[in-house]
Amino acid sequence: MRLGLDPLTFLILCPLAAAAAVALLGRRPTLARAAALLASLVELWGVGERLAELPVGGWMSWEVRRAWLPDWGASWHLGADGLSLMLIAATALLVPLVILGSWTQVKERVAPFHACLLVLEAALVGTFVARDLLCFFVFWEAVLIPMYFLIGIWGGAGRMAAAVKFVVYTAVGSLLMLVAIVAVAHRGGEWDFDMARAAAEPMALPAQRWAFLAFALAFAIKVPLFPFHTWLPQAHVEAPTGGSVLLAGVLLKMGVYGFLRIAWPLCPAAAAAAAPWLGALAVCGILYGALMALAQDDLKKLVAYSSVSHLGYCILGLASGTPAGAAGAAFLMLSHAVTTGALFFLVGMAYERTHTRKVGDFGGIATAAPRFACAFGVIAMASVGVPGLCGFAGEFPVLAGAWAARPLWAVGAALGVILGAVYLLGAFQRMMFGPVRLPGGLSGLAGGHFPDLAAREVMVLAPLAALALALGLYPSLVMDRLGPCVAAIGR
Amino acid sequence: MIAGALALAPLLPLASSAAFLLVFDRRLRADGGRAACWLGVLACAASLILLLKVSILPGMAGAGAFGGMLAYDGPAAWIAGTVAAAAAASLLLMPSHAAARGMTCGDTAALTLMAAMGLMLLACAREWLTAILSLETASVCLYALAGADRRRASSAEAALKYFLPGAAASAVLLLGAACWFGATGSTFLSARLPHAPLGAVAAGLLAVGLGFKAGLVPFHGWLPDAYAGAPAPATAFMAAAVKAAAFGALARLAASAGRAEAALAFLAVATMTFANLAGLAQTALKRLLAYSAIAHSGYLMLGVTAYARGADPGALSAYLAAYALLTIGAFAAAGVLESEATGGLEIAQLRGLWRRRPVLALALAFCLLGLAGFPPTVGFLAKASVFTAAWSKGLGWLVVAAALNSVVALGYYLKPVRAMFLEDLPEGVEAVASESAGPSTGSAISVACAVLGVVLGILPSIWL
Repeated sequence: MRLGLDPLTFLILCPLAAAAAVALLGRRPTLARAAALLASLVELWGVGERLAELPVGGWMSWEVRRAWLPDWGASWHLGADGLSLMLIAATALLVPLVILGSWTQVKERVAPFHACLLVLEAALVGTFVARDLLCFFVFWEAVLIPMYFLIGIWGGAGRMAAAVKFVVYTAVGSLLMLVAIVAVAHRGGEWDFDMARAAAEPMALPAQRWAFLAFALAFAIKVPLFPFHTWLPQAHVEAPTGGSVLLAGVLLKMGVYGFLRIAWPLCPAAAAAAAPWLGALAVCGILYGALMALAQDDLKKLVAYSSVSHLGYCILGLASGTPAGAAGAAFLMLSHAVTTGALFFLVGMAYERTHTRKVGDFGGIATAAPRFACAFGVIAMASVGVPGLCGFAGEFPVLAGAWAARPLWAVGAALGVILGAVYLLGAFQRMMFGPVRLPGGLSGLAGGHFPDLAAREVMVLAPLAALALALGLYPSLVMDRLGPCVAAIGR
Repeated sequence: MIAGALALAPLLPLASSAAFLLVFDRRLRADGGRAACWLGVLACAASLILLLKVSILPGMAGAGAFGGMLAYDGPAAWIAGTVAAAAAASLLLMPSHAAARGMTCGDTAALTLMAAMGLMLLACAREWLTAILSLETASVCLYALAGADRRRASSAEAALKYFLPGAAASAVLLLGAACWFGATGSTFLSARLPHAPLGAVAAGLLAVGLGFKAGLVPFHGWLPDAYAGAPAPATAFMAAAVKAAAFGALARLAASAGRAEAALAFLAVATMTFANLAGLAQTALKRLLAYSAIAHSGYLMLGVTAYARGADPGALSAYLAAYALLTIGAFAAAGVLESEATGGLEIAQLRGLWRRRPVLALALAFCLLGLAGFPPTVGFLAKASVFTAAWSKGLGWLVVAAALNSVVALGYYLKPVRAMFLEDLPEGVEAVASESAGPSTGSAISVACAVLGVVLGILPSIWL
């Protein structure tokens, strides 16, 4: 099955090879979709095998190291612990769902779309398994190229400005990160890009401060942490549904992952000193994102701002400096991938039916499309943190950690939870209940009703809804494998 | 004497084939100069093989030949190899470009070969008179090459704008060499320059002259016009080969002059900042690539500054080779498109190119992303190698400046990519590259450069 490759290299090369094959199927759109779906399912199967092997505690496994640039002390060094593997699992789960979800939404240039998705998947997996700083940077930057095309070619009316803004914002941070990586790799006068060794022997404090600043800027832009978030609403609104799902579901997590894996372990003293600032920014982001979401009428923009708010909790958990906060932040990444991914799918489905995303245009969908309303309800409640669903299981440890560190942060963050319920459940109520109200064009077009979810759409949403429930009811299934990986942050 | 003959061996195929072409050009004109170009490609290949053989001979790197006037150390061999490869690529591109634009290419082939010979000699020269003579040999040929497209005014303008400041720069170089001799009593590059004012004047004049050839700000004024007006194959050669040879000489000058760090750093920052900001305003593809060439001179100055502080020259040669590969790929694609366009090649004309010519569009995009320094292309490794070299010599602030500059550069490298992939051709704008045109050598070279750029970027152990 793995063609003699080690498991992690296989997980990177499988989507890449599939992308090349899919790109050649330019004249056969349906075949291209099917091939891409098959490849992404093979990838999911491979990740599933690794998940089954992952020990409780989530220690680093499947390490592989090959010479890459021996003169510079850089190597093809991969390895996955619980944190890496959970994020890869989220990626590998979302990609087939995106392919299924885009089945009818992407009608033009089908083969290149799926090739871009698969290249993106390979780069994302690579980012999460790289154990060498230079490797990490290569994958980190490689993510930009397919995403640029996904937004720029298949996006909405303002797609070009959004695509350029996305790339340039990220590049500002990442090129400074490259400088920081160079600084870290040269800490002892010899070149060494190995992450574990860099974490074992951190630099002196003044150098650490500068390196942390560069790393933190790069990751804060990606997260995005307030006030570096301004690229995000535009990119989300203009991206096609599949692009938004992966952007919110996985790409934003690269930033949090970077904080957890690189900024904190490599610059521990500087990180501890900067934590109060990060925490304050995180609380600002939670409240700002929530208030902005409250003011939106465009459902996609609302979900985008809710991402700013939710990612704030992740950073708050880190900044709290407690094991509970860090574990909660890691858990929240997965929970956010599930809920926000599903929300973007739902927004895309509503838009495909009605060609509008305005909350005010809808009303009473629940009577016409009960399955749609039910899925929306479950996901919205998971997203706002109703106990028993996945959002709560992540937010609670973060709030607990924040309370232990600075009670004021916990108060602000809790306020954000309340606001979250107001904006998301408020939108849910306006769209689903009340008198049936549909956008003008629809009443004549589709027999005057909002078509309910088709079987394919149920297949997209059901796994996510099931996961939201499973993670909420039995969080320790994941937490036991995540927590130990990030516990070092706590102390 | 044997050493001398061996040292000249890599140059012989170039010189002899150039002489042959000059004499028998009329006989070879029957097929529009195709045979002449192929002969030139063979000569370049022979020269490359001889270079590989000669540069590993014992003593060739250190003592050299002719009492040390010529020596093939690591950087010299890299640069000479880059020059020969660039000449071969330019000659391969020439016939179809010439046919499309109604040029003859027998004489351009001879000029390219002579220029390549001069630049290879410059790469291994260890003495100022040899260096200046070889540079002048190359420059005279290059002025004529820039004006090779005789039917177009833009080409004549390019030649004139290249020639006039170029001649002045040559005079400055000569004066500098004279001062060098006055200050040190020797014309060898290895002579230690004394602290006396004359030494500083010598180093300054030589740096100005070489900075002109390398396209450093503020001596870059000729470059955009020359690059935009010259035929694309000639531009590809100029961009790749002249830069490589000029930077080889600059690096040696910087290393033996010493104490000029502030000036070098200033040139680096001024060059990259100015070129990247000016690049943002460009609307024509070749002009944009010209500003990209200037900006890369700035990044290269970072490598030169590090080399002056004692860094390994490997980073600089690697950067020159990687830059040559990507820039030839980009100009090859520009040449294909230019030969199908009527006027200058505006970026707006590239809109929707992806639908008409997917392979060519992808190749150009990868070359541009490589020039922008995106992984996993070779451009990233080149940039990282210069950054690491500069960092290890304590030039942290220069590295930060270069990193910020790379972000600005993204703004214009993405412009053609955006036009080709993201935008559709509106009504009323004349498109270049209709679907009917079949594959050409230009697209083949562009694709080869893009593929090599990615493969060498992923597997650096092959070449680094």
